Amino acid sequence: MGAQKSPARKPSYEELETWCRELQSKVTKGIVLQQELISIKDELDQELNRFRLIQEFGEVGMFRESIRDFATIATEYFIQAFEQPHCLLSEYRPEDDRLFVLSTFGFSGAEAPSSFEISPSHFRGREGFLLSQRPTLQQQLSGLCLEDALIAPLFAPDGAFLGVVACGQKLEDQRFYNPIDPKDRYAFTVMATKVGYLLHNFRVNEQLKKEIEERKKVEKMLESKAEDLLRSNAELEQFAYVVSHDLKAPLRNAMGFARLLKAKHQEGLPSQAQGFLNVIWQELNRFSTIIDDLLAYARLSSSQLSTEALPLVDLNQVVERVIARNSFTIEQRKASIHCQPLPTLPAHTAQMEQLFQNLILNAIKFTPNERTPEIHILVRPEGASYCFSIQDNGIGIDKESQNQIFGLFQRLHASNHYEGNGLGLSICKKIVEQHKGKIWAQSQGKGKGAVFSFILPGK
Amino acid sequence: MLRFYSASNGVVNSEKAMYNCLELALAERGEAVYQQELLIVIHTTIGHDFTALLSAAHQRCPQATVVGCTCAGVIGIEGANENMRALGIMVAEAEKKGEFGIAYCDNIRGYNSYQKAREMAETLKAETPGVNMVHILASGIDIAADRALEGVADVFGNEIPVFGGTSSDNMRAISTYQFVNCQILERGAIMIGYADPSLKVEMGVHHGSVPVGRPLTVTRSRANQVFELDGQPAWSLLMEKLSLPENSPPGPCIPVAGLAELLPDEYHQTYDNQHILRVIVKVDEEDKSFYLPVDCSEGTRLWLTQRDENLIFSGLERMIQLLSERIEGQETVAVFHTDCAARGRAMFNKIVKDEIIEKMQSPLMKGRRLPWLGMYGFGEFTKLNGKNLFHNYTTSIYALVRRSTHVKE
Repeated sequence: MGAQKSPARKPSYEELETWCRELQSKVTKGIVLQQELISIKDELDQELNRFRLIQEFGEVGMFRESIRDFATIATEYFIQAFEQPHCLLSEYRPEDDRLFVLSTFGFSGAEAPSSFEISPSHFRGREGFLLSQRPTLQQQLSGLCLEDALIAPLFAPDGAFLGVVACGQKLEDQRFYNPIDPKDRYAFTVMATKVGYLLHNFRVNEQLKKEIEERKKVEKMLESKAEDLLRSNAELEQFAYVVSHDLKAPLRNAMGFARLLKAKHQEGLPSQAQGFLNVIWQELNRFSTIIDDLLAYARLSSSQLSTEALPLVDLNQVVERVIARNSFTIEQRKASIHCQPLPTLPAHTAQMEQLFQNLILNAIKFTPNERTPEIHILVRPEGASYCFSIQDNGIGIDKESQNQIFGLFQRLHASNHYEGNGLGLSICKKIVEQHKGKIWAQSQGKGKGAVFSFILPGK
Repeated sequence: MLRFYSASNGVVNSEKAMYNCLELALAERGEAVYQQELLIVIHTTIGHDFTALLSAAHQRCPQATVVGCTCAGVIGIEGANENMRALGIMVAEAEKKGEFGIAYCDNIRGYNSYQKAREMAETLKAETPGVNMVHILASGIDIAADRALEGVADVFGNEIPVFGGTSSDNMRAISTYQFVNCQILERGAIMIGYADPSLKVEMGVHHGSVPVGRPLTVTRSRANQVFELDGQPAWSLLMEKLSLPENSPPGPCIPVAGLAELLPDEYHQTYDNQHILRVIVKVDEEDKSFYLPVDCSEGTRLWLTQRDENLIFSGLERMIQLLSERIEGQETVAVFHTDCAARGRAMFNKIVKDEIIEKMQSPLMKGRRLPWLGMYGFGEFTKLNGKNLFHNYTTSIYALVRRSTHVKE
């Protein structure tokens, strides 16, 4: 026989009342618990959204047109991410030891000053903090009337202090805004770090842009100056040509009459007048040489030598012709000329003769009479070019003058010591440059001889 | 004929936010539309600079009538946004003058809700003949919404559909704001009358809460102020039941302190529930009484409520299905939407919230950009079973539909 099931006892009213209360209590606890869970989920949602915004700011803030634009975007993102009514972004300028406000959000013009006297020493470490935790700083920022704020320093990647960002609320804002959650300072630090790096990048880019702009400006200025110089040179050279050409005709007449006077009447003249006539004749000759040289120089300047169409010139033959043409002077000074075998290269024959002649005669001229001129013509290949040197044992050139001597009418000595018009080396320089080369002089100093070198392109 | 355009955004700079919204909403209309007489309805969260918003709207659209209110969150085509600075707008472009009109008042309270609403309705009726639906945006703190509805009914009759909601702040229940052109009101109410005979409004409503435990009986009350429940100070008892401190402010309690009241039988089907929910947004610190948004006579039984996720989703589907059936074959030109502030982030996480909104928008939008302006407010007006009602904790959808000869019977 199975056990008899006893009928269920009916609960008393008091028991039912108790169970009801317990149930009610469980239900209400359940409601509250559910609400707490929703709050936690909501907090997580907010945090996720915040990091999404920080990420987005990294992209949006990267290439802004101006610092104002960048700072405006940055403050707006801080407002959005941290849901505060006010934000201020400032930049530290070491030269002023002050923070300058780049952008504000939610402050009236009168509330936010343009700069603060807060030095980097106020910020220990990179972490953000609550303004309410730093009474000294709160005092210094009292003008902003912030009851509390998230504050974080901005640093460059190399650790340089760049500025400060503050995002917070005033007392009256607390009507609708919850007090700042201290946990928010972690995300705030992350965003401030991002802003710091972007600000640094912006400033570096700005500096680069500025440098490029300045360089472009300088280049433009140089180009313009070079154009001016070229134009002025061309005008001068044209002027020299016209002047020398026009002077040549009256000079020729003067020389003709001087020659006639000398030939027909010199013997009848008193000896003092004969002396005067000789001086006139010598000076006219000198004048004529100057004009010839000036003309030669002007012609060189006005003609554009096309190096591509130049004939090949054997420089050995050029030097031989120069020596033959000047054999009287060479023999008179008992000068010895030693010449290495020279190359054949594209050049203007007459100009090459002029170049070697000027340099060889200079070497003889600037060797004191008591010394026998020893001249060496040397050559060595330099890549596709050749470097020539005319080496002498003459009076030498002091270091300071070595660059001057190629200038027009540049003479280092009085004409009564060494005759000449100061055009020879200018002509040499012009010839070498016409051939796309370069010329320079070297000397160990006075009395130690000189070496005139020039480079000419090879075949 | 009215045409509607909407946009919403989370741009924090108020001026930029308004410009951006207008540009987005009116993108297809070209520059000339900005100079027309427009109606701009604004919903904004509490953090925006309202003066800047209104000034930007007027600057861009000098001929526009601008109305609006604050809310706990904005719902647009772009989704829901409950940040401190969220903005949504609906722009109505009238083909001819008189297709819409507005009336407004300041300082609307429980005791004067009938009078103020009646005066507004009279103004609206006088100035805008042919109003066939009324859109209310009112202060949500201590309005007696049922009395306000009576005021409207006494002017326009019971047939006129009334929709809209009460404004809110960010669930703190401290203050809410309403906007009329350049004015910012703190306890105001706005009525928009639409007088486009080609338009009608179809509504849907539901809530997903269930009453729990034994009811509490109102033992002392005056109009919408409840002094005692079960013979004890009303707020104190409620807080005790919810295990919350007696001095809790009402705002943070909104998500858990909803009260359910039995609905008359004839509304059960259309409301999809036997209970209608009431929210408490104002508490008297002195006597621990609280205010409901409708009159609450002595003897009324009120239940604590608990949300039921299954009911939320199934109710939502039923509501949209019913609404879709009613508007089938007709052109929906815009949707206004009021949702209880507690149904935003205070109750749902983002994923659930987005899912709820998607479930509402998708069947109505059918792949096109249907102008949509919604807000999380403190309460909702909806016409149910032929009667305009005010309720809380619901989702209420108001689809503006172009009348068609093929209306489904």
